Amino acid sequence: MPDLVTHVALSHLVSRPFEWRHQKKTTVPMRILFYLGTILPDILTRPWYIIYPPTMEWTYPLHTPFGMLIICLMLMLFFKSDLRKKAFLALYSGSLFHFFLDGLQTHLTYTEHWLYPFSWRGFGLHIMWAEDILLLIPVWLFLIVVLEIIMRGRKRIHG
Amino acid sequence: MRWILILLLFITVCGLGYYNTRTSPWISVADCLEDPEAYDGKLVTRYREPLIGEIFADGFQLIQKNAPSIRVYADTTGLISGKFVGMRAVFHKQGYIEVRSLHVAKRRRYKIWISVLPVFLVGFLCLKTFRWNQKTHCVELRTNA
Repeated sequence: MPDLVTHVALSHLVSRPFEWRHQKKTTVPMRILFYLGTILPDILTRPWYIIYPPTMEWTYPLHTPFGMLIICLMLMLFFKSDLRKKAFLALYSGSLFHFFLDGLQTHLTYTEHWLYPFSWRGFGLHIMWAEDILLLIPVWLFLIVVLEIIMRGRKRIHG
Repeated sequence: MRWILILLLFITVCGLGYYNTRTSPWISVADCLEDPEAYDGKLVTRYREPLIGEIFADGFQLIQKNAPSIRVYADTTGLISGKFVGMRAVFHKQGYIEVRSLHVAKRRRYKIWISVLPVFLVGFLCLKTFRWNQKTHCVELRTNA
């Protein structure tokens, strides 16, 4: 997995421009749920694995698109009825974005199982090692600053 | 009805976990050491937080968390004791593994620690934006969000 700073920074960079034209009452809250969706596959699995590695066999399905579909459906039900659909879309699209980013990194022994539990076929582009992505954090932070300057400048001009 | 659905989805998640323990094709060092004859020549695909232990002229000792350590035969160029390692390696029934390809994850500890920050940030943003309504038992937007 890339580190979670990369996940959240890139999720901000892809979601923030959607506020270019107009901003509804739920736009910012749903963007925050999108961030949550992008870190959810890792925070549900990695801490347990790092503390006690044998848990991986049990928690691994939560790091797959199908497992996250179930989790996001479950989380959606905790929201107020008028927010549920949007909350689900934000959380699940965030999770899928997480798997897309994970698919870019190099593995030696296994790849991303995007079709689990229907297939063990591995996917992934094997572009970079996860540790090398860490070195790009300053780039993401710089791009966020540039994006925020542009977004706020536009808001000041157009009101 | 909502709580029944949540319960059913939770049971499904547990079922997926159980299904994974039964069907995953991964081969661990522990599997190999339990039945060396059956796993002779097989590719080991699952390691548990593998660390480089003592380095020898022709390899190193692989240390795992909550799993057995094992002697590894590999090119030792670039190896650093105490660092995390990723490997493609073949098990031999004599009780060692032979590396086909190897990657020393020098910055993995930094990656783990740096990943804690966004968890707190997103958690804070969620708490600032949403609240739990005790009457409806639902998450809703804070009025000032």
